[in-house]
Amino acid sequence: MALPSPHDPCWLRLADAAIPGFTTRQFGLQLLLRRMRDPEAGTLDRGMEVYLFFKKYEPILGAELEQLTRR
Amino acid sequence: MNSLLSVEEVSELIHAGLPLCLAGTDALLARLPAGNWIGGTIPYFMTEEGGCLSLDRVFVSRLPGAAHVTSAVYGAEAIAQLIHDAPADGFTVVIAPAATEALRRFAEDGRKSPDLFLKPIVGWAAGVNLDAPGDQPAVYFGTDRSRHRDAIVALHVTLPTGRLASIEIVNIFQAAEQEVVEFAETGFTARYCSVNGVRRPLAEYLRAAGNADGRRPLMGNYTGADVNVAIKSIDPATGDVAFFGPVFPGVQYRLAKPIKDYEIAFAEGLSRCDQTSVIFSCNCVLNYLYGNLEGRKTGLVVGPMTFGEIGYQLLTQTCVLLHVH
Repeated sequence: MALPSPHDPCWLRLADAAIPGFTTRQFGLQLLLRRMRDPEAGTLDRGMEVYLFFKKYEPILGAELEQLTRR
Repeated sequence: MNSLLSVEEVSELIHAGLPLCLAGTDALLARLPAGNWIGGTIPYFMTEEGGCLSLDRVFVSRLPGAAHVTSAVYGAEAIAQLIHDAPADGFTVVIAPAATEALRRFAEDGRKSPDLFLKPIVGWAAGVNLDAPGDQPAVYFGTDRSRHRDAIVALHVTLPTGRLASIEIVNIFQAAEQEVVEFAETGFTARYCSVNGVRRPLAEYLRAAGNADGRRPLMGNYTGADVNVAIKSIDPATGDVAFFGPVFPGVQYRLAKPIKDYEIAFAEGLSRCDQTSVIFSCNCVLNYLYGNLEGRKTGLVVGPMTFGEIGYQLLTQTCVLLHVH
C-alpha cells in the first residue's frame, strides 16, 4: 500500500482527529496524535509531523495506512 | 538473553566490548570495570524463574544488533540535547535516578521535543531497596565508572539499515467507566482536581472511590493509549496527593479498576504482544509489590522492576517493551 504524499490532506485530517473510527495500537502514534491536540506542543506543521511518523514506521503501520487510504 | 549474572560474568561481557544496560545494587555496580555500559540502582527483577530481589547479581540487558553505539551523561538542563543526540535510525536507552530534577525535567520538558516520536527512547528510573532506609538511587556511566545522583545516562544505539525500533507498553489496568478526573496544571503533586467538571479535593475523591491506599493509578487517555499515573502518597493533613509521574492539563483521567491477580493480568496483556522481537523491557516495582510477584512469572518478558518507566515519556505502573523489527 503506497504512502500518500506529504501534501495529502489525510495527514492533517488525522492530526485533527477528523478521521472517524481511526484506531491504532502503535504506542508512539497514539502519543503523537494526542500531542497534536496539545496547545503547548508548539508543533509548526502538524500534518507533516504525522506524515514523517508514517514514513519512518511504514513497515509496521499497515493497518493504519489501510484506514487512511480507504477514505 | 537478558538475565541476572554475577559481577564476574558481567565484567567479562564488558571486557568483550558489548553495549550493556545494567541494573543492580550500588555496591555491585561500583565493582564493574569501565566499558560501554550504563547502569542504575535497583534490586528488584523479573527473571525467567519469576520475580525476585537480588543483592548479589546484576541484571544485564544486552542490546544486540547495533551498528554503532555512543553513550553520554546529561544533566537536568540538557534534556533537549539528549533528544537531539538520540539517533533517528535506532533507539536510545536511558536511566535516571527516581525523584530527581533530571527526571522531572525529562518528564515535563522532553515531551515537547518536535521529533520525540521519531526517536524511540526507553528506559527506567533507578530506585532503592525498600527495606534499606537511607539508600539513595544512583546511575552509573560505564565509560569512566562515574556515579551520578541527579543526571540521566544514555546509550544511543544506531541500527543497521533496514532495522526499525518501536516501543510498546503493557498496561494491565482497565479504566473505570464513571468519573473523569482532570487537572488544571502540570505537576507531580495535586491537591484539587475536577471530577466530571466539578472541583473537588483529590484526596477526598480517591478515598470516596475506595482508593485511599493509592494502589490503583489514574489512567490518562492518549488517543487510545492508557497512560498510568501512579500515586506515591496521600497526605491526610494537607490533602496533597503526590505522583510518581506528572499529571497534565487537557488529559482526561479515570481511576483504574482493581486487579484480582497480577500474574494472570500480565499473561493476558503480554499475550497480545509479539514477544519474539523484544530486546529490552522493564516493569514497575509497584506491580511487583502490589501484585506479590516475588517468585511469580510475567511471561517471557524479563527485566528490572523499576521506580518509573520510560517509553518516549515518563510512565508509571507500566511494563515497557522495546522491539527491533
